[in-house]
Amino acid sequence: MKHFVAITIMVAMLGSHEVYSQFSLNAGLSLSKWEGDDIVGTVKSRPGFHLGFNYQVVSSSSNSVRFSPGLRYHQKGTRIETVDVFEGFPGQQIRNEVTVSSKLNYLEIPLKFSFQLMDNLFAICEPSISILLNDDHKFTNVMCLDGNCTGFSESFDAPINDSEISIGIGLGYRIFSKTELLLTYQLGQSQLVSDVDAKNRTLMISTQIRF
Amino acid sequence: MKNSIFYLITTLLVIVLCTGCEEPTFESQGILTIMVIDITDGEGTPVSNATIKAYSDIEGWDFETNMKGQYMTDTEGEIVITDLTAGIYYLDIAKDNRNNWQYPLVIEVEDGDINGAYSTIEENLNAYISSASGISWEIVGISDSVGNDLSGNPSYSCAMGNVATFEKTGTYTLQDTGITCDEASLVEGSWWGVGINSLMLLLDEGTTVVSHSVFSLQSNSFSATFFKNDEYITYHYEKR
Repeated sequence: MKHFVAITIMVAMLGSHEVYSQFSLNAGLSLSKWEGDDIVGTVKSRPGFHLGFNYQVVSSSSNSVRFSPGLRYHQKGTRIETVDVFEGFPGQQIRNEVTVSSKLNYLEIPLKFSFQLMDNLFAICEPSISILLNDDHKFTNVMCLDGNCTGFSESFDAPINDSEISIGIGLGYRIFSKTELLLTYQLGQSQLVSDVDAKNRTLMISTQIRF
Repeated sequence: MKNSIFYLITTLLVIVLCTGCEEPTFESQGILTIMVIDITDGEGTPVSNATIKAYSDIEGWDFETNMKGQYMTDTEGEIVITDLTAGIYYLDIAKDNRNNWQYPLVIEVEDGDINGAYSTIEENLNAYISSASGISWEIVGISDSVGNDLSGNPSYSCAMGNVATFEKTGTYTLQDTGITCDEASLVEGSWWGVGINSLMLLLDEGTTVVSHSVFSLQSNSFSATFFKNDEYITYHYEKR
C-alpha cells in the first residue's frame, strides 16, 4: 500500500507516463552534535552511524528529479566538554575536564529528493521524521595531575523529546554505475528538550548502493 | 558491484574506528598529592626526599605496622600518589630529625577525585627520643639547678641507671634497673613533646603532670629539668 502511494505521488510529481522502481541500501558515518543558545561548554561531534534503505521511483522521461522515501536507523548525539585548569600547590596544574555525552538512536523516515546537477553529481534535499528509539546520557568528570588521571562516570536521564523533524541538504556523486557517495548536513528543526534551545546537527557521509 | 561492496565495507570500517574514539581514559582510583613543608625555621620550606608512610588506621600509624604505601617527595617537596584505594589514611612524614608526629596528618582519598594537603614537619622532641617500638634512655647523671652533681647524693642516686622508654604512641615507662628507691620499680604513663624544648609526662593514670624543660638535645643524649620537692632537678639521659 505504501509503495503504491509513493509511486502515485511520484508519478503525479514528475508528470511521467513510464516509471520504474529501485531499492537502495545506504550506510555511513554520522558526526552529530547539538547546537543552541542554551548549551554551555564546547560542543564536539559524536561519531555514530546510519544504516537504511530507500525505495526510489524513477521516471524514464524525466530523470532529473528523483524521490526516494526510506527507512533508516540513525545514531545521533553530542559531546559537550568544559575544561578548567587550576592550581593545586604553587606551580602545580590540575586539569579538570567535564564531559556530557549523549547518544540518541532514532528510526528515521527520510523523504529524499535528488536533483541532477551534472552527469554524476546531484543535490539532495531530505526532510525527515525521526522517532526516538532510546537515549543514553553520561556525565564524566576527569581530573589529571602530572599525567595521572582519575575520574568517574555516571549515567543520567534527560527528557529528550520522542520525535524530531529535520531537513537534510547535501550533494551526491555517482562513483560507479550503482554506487553513490553522499554528503548530507542534517539540521534538526525540533527542540530536543522542551523549552531548551538545543537541536541536532548531523553531518552524514554515506555510501549508497542501488539494486 | 565488487567496487560497491568494497566501498561499503570501507565505510563500515571507518564507522567502527570512529565510534570508539575520543572517549576520555582515566582510573577510578583517587589521586593524593602531598606537599611537605618544614616549619622549623618559621619560613615554610618545601622538603625534598621526605619519606611518607601511609597507614589505614591509627594503630598502624602508631606502631608502624600494616603500611599501605611508602613514598618520597620530589625536589619541589611534592608527591603524587596514585595507588591508594579510597579511604582514610594516617600519614607518617619524616626527614632526619623532622617529622609530623606531634601533629599527624589524616587525609581521605576519594575515588575519582584529587585530594591534596600540605603537611608540616618540624624538628621536634618526638623525632629524637621516640620511635614506634620505643627508644630507651638511661639516666646517666643527675644535677641541680646550678649544675652540681647529685648522682652520688643518696637522696637522688636511686634514679641513676633507671631506663626511660618513649614510644611514638605516647607511652612512657621508667624501669628501675635494680638500685633500690622509694619509687616503684616500674612507672608507666604517657608523654608528649612540644617543639624540641618541652617534655610532658602524665603519671599516676594521668592525675600527675610533670613538665620537663629539655636541653642539649642530640641524637644520643639529652637533658631534662623538672621540679621535684621544691627544687629543680636535671636528669641526663643517654641512648641505650
